[in-house]
Amino acid sequence: MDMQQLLEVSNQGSFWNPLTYLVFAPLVGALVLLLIPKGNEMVLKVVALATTLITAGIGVYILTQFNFDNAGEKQLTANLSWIEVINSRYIIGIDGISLPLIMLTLLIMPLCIVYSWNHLPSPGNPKAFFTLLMVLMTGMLGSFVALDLILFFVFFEVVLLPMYFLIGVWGGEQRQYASIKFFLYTLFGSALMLVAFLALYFLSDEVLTPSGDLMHSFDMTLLPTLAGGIATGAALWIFAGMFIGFGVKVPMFPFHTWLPDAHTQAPTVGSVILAAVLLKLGTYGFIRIAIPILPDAAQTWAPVIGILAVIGIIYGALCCLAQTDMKRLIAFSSVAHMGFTMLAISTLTDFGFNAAIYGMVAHGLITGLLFFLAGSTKERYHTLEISRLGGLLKQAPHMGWIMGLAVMASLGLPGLAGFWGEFPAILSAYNPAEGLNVALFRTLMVIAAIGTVLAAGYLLWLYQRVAFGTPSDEFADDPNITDVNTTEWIAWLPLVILIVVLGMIPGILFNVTNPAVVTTLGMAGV
Amino acid sequence: MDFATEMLTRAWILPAVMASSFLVILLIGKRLPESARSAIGIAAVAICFVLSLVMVLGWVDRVEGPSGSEVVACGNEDYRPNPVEGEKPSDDGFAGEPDGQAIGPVAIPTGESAAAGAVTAAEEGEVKSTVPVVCAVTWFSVGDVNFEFGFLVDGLSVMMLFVVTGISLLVHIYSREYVRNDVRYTHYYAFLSLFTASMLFYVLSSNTLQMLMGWELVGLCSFGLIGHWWEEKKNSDAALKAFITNRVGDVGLLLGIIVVFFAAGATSFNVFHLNEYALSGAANTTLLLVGALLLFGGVTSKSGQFPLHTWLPDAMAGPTPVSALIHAATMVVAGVYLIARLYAVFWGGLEISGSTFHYVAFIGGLTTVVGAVLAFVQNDIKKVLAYSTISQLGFMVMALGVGAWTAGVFHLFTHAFFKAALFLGAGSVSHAAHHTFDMREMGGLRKYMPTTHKTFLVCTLALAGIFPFAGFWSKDEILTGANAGAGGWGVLHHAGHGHAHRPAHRRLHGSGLPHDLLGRVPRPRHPARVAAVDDGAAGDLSRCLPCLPGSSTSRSVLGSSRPTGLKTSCSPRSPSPVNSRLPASTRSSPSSHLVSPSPAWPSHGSTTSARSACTASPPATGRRPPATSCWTTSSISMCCTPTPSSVGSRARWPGPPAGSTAPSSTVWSMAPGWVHDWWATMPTSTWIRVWWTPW
Repeated sequence: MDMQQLLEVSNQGSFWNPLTYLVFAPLVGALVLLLIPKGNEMVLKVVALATTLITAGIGVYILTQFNFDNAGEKQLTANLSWIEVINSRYIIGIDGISLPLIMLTLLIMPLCIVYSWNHLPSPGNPKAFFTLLMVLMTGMLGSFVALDLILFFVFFEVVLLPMYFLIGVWGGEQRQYASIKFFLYTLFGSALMLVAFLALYFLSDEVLTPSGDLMHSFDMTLLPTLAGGIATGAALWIFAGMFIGFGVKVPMFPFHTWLPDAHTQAPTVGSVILAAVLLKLGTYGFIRIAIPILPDAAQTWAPVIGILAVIGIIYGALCCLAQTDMKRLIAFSSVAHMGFTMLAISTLTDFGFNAAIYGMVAHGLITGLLFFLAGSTKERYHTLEISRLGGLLKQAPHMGWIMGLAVMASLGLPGLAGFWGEFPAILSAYNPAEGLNVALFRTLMVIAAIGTVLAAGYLLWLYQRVAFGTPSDEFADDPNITDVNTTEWIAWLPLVILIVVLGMIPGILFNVTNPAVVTTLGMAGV
Repeated sequence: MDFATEMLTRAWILPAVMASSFLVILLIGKRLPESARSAIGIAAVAICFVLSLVMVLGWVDRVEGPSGSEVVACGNEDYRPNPVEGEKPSDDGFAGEPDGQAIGPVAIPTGESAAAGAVTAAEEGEVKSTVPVVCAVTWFSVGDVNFEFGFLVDGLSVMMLFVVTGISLLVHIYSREYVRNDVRYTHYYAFLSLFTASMLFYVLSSNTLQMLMGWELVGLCSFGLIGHWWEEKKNSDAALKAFITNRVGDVGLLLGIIVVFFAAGATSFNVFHLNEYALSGAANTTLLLVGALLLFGGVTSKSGQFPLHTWLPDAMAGPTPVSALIHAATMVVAGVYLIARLYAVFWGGLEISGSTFHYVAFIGGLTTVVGAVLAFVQNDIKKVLAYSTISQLGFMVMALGVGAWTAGVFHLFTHAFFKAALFLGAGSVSHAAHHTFDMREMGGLRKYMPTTHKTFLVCTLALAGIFPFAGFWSKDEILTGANAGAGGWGVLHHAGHGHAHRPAHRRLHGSGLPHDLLGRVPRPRHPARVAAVDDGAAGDLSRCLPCLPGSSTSRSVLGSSRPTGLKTSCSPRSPSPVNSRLPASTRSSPSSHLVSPSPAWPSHGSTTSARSACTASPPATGRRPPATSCWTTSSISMCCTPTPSSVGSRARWPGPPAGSTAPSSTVWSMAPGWVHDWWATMPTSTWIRVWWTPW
């Protein structure tokens, strides 16, 4: 049965798939950028923007090709031979789970380029900066379309290096420390993840390759079936490896310490991408890889994930209350918000998975916007020390209003996007999947709900200190402090609109993700 | 279908109009002259007000006309809600269709119809049921659950529509002058519009998820308007305090919604579905209890119940018209509305009929006392009003907690108007008195502001529960309910009530002849008596405290003076159809509730009999009909037709009991203490301090 399926799949699709164009268009852009002389700043910017826009255009084309009535199935798939020695194949495809995240990436990247138009972080060098962003984009998009573990891993790692350089070169004063910490943490997680992938490869059943050999497989769509025979103990260890690999990226509670440093030191655009897309690679990994392939192990680990998630919610919130730096505060709020997402995932229910994906997208939009705002605040005040700020609404009213909206969305106000990640996450914990400890998850639910109060506390307190009141003497007559400028409007307005629209019409996303979630859970037999 | 009926199915227009007004003011307001900005807001609210009047009429038509039991088509016939477990999917409407077999003759368990229905069911369908108009579409799906997005119109929501649009309109108009030349005139009006939109959205929601959205959005507007002058840290602190305190309660609301959702089968958030479940015999009482307690957490914060009331006085940092609209008349009653809307959930979960510890009533009663007592020590006129709001909210919650659904909702209605007027009056006073709210700096303003003085006086009297003003009728209802239903705790409520509003209390226990009595009330005429206020307060309080259960005072007060008519009319009945469909725990024998004479719906037990007494035979019969209960009848109709003026036009309104035979000596023997108490009532003292003190 399995063999026949594999044979059918192996012949499928061509390399010149829309998804291939989507993934590699930014890479082509990066090559073009490399050919442009360093001093030609305007040309570099235009090419970078054009690349992201063309990629986004391909994304729009994919949207038109995507069959929303069948969002549960993998679409636009291709399955071609790639590294035959280990039977790693070029398998790509998208469904209702990856589509929203791809669209999020395609939205965030052009906005980042637009924002960088006038805000190129020191030490400048737009050529290197934009090239790295393009490579980063390929890595992110590739991770979301890859359906082969090795392919996924490659893209996952492609993301790492550009980010390392973005933080290490264009970052703040402590950039060396932060970038190395980021790199080591993620690499450590990746190493464990790779070991887990290999173990999965060797312990799962074999399939018949197109060349007629019996080989193990890295195919994500087949592994849920192939991995059924793995012994319980081994499965637990494999899951633990993936757990740590993805958990570092999310980041989950004990592995989160790289995040505040990375965020604080990263240039604005780096922070935005990190928060909006990179963190989602971790949660996406849980939903796409770890849980469907090893559902029984996931069930065993779920309480641990849930507990760590809730610790993250409370711990992240408490850390927020103690922060004196605006960016660091937002970074810790990411820890808390991703805690909600992980709690939702740990319930192993359709509600939870939907909530998680919604939470991922919403968090991407909202925290992305918050980091943009933090960056612009720094630009104007040359500091992010909260105690020195104040009166933003007075000096830059529009910016203050947008920040107000972002803050409200971030604390989960119904009617804005954040709510639909948070509320269903809490809801899903009431009734976790069969076999999970109901009492435990209901306790987690209550603690998570208390986290929403803390979220209101730290976010509004931040807002009060930054936006309300009157500016301190230091900044009162500073001519640098102006309201939102054109590039900022272009970069922020789409986020603002989407936050409101997604908050009012959650069906846009739920109706896409739901079929895919149901299929995934059905596949996993949870 | 005429326009009014059609409007019932187009309820979404109201929040949509206000939301558009918000967007217009926010986006282009700055480019318009000040007067145009406010004009947009006022025009939008005026449209909504007119439309809500139309809806009120439409609803009254529906209640009185022959079509009341028909399901109204909404033009979305392809919408299919989730089939409720054990119930066949209905083709022509959602929960609006009563499932007669399963539940009983009057089966739509909204608070209103559940309360009225439970009573009337015992009378074999004397009052026919009116099916609420629910128009819903599928919002989104998760798993196999379809989430509906819908609007629901019934008596409760049209009443709220009237309150919200009416007061919002007045506040919009008033604000034109009040915030003239304000730094943030545009934002002010934008937020007012957004608030009105959110509140309308909230009261029209057909499911708890939407209610949660409206609930939080009004909180957001409250935050924005309390912090309207955010340059001062004091104001932004108050805004933060309000939002975060509310957020604490919202945890309860959030979890409560989740628990009740799962308890009711995890298929729908629809309020009818939840209520229906709560009244069905199959309900899981533990889950309902937990759910109701959690939901009450939300009520506690939003409606300023003890101990989460602390944000409300601070919320007075906002502009005064905002205090009138949001922190007195509309937003703060959202919690009360929540209980009223999900009444069956509270009823079943907290066993309002059968429990020995009436949690909701207790918190309400405690809040009444706490709010009233704290009001005494305020010097800020707005804070006095804020604490009195807390106290009045306690009243409403208490009423709901003792089963007096109609009374609580009625008080919500009346309170909104006189309290809003009081706040608007306070705003005028402060503008006249050089922008101070400190009553120590006021006095003798009657001379300079005669009109404001008169309106303030009228509202004060209404707040104090003085005949013939609105507050009298509604408070009276609540006391009747508490007296009949709440057992020992009722005494506590009387203590609180008597403190702030002794007249109604005395009247209740005394003779049942308020109109007679109140005609002869000496009005305070001399500023010299101001000094008596605080002493009087203390004395009044000390007189109330011994009224706790068991003390001899309480026995002598309650035992001897309880209206006999009421008592006899509340004689225990044999288990009725209503009783039998309540959860088993509430279906206990009537004798287990010693003080509460009526088994299932205590307050309405008396109401029922009174209604039949009033409608069947005018009060000329030998047995004196309990006057208090007769007025209950009027307020039931009030709920359906929420215009005060309609009272007189209602055929069922029996008028004051003309043929009563109470001995006048009773009246006069009470007078001295009564007058003293009344003199010392909290709102009255406020009034005196502002208007009568010489400079």
